[in-house]
Amino acid sequence: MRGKGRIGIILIRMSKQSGIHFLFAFIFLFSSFSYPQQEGKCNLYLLGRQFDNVDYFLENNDVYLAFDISPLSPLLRDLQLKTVKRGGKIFYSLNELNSVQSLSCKWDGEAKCVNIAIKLRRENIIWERNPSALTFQITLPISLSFETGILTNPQRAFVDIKGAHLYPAKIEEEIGDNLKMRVAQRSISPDIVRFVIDLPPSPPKVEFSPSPSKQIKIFLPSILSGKGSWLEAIELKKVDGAVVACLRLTQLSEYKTLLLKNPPRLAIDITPSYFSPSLSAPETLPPISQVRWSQFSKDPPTVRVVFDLERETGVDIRSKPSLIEIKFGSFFERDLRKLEGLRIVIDPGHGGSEPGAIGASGLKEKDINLDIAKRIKKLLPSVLLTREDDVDVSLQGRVDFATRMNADVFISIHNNSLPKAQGTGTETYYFREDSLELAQYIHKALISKLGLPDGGVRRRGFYVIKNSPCPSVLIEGAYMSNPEEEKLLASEDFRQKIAEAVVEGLKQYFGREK
Amino acid sequence: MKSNRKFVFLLILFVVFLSLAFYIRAKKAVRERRIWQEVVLYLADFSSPKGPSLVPVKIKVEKDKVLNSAIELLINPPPYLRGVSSPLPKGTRLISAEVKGDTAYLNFSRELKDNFTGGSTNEMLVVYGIVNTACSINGIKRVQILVDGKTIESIGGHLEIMEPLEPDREIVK
Repeated sequence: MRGKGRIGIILIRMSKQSGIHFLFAFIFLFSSFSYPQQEGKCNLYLLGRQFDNVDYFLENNDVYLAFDISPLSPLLRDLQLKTVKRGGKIFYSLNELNSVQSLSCKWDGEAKCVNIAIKLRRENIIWERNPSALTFQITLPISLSFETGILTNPQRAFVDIKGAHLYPAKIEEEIGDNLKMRVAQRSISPDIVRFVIDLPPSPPKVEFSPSPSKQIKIFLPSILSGKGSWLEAIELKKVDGAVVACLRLTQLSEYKTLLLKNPPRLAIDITPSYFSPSLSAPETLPPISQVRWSQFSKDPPTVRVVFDLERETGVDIRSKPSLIEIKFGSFFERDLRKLEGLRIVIDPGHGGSEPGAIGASGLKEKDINLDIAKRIKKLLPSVLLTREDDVDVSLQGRVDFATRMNADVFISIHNNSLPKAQGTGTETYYFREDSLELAQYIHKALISKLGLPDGGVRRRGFYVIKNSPCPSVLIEGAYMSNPEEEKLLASEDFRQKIAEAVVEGLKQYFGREK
Repeated sequence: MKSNRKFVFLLILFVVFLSLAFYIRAKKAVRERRIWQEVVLYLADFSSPKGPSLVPVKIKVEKDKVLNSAIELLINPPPYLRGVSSPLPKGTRLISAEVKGDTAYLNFSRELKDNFTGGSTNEMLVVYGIVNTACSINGIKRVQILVDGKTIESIGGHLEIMEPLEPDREIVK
């Protein structure tokens, strides 16, 4: 009686708050009175699987079920469920199971049917655009079976997740790229959630992870084809002494480059493209002081990669499918390809017992000449060297080599000297008229690249250029006898410049309009 | 009348004197030509703004050993010549000089090659300093340079001197 009186007080209080609450409370009381204890057999849908003739009884507005609870055990690990033993069977309280956060438990009294399903919420679904695919992932607290497929008219991919109950009732999201994600409760007895991706008119390939699983994945690997490229990696490496940057893309996009001053930097805009979230900055190598990137524009999607440079430097760029290569301070074979088929003889002057000029610090001309020649060969591997080591080669031997190789051009590499620390600048020598043009191109490149005083193109009867079977020149890069210029010749950088100038000159000579 | 005769006498005396003077001068010239001969030394000018070159300098040497004398002067130019110097490497000596037909054979000491300091222009100055100087002598058209009595391929690795060389005008200022 005391208890009833308390309920009466609660009812009066509730009625003060709102009529609806009062109504609920009334229905609650009424139902408990009108269905006092019921028992029998019912239908059970447990995580999408159907069980007939499951014993149940109703008590205190709760449903007690006798069933194999093991499929739910991963969710109940820390919970001590109240159990009721009746007639040798163990019954579980549905209200108590319903209090487990990830479970949805429903009793349909009329159909005598129980649904136990996993609650599926928006936060269980993630989608991610990564360089290789658009991926949807549905993460479940427990392994469920699901069915997948593609439906047409309109094109859509679906996943039916058995034993899941959706909260809220419906999810709809635009993904972009003509894609839409829709999730809805397809049925409640049994509980099935249908996940749909509306596809663009020309549907991309769709892949599904296998069922059953705690994680359902839907891959659209080629969804971005024709839409843009992903910048996956930026690498810096040294190739033959030059620094090369590689931009790895999922496919080749258009790009344009801007070589800027103040501060010196190289910007590359790749369109259309996105950068991978996992993109990381490479370890820098001189002359590159920093590598940066950003989504420079959204429409069209453009990634801008900026290489900050320590100093102004020339760059050469070539692209392969899925790769843009930038060579700093040098050129690429692309420009050299037209030189590849030619027989270019490079003659490093002196050698062996004949040191050539000797600088004040002891630098030997023969070693410098050979080093420059080898650098030319690295830039243009097809060139032929009259000597590759520190050996004696006679003047006639050098000419014979050019004749034997059926040379198209012959370039003798030298550095100059005069008595008493005199002399400065760069000179290029030719002898026959057929060599004048070659001498002019090579000399122009040398002067612009080395920046030393212009000693001019001169006609002199040096043996190799007088007797070679082809247009031939002899270059005198700098003066070994001049201490300043000897210092330059001692640096790799300067020797590389001479080599590059020779190749540049050859490029110009063979690319000229005849 | 008397003054007329005196005038004629003076005139004859003057003519005789003049003839004598011409005769002596002519005789001296003939004698000189027999003893002295003009040659052209091609000396090096390293400090020319247009780059190192050879400068021709006319000089008279005894006709008797004209080739030896010219080359000796090329090695040791007269000190009064300013702004030019010997193109030959330090310590170079002329061992022997001989002419066969129109070719001069000049035999130098080892220093011609050993003391050469390198450089293509420098080598032009050395080789054509010698060849041009020798070929300024009448009758010499070619020069064979020898070192220690033997032909060598090259002094500095740019010009071949295995064969007799003819003079080169390109290097002359």
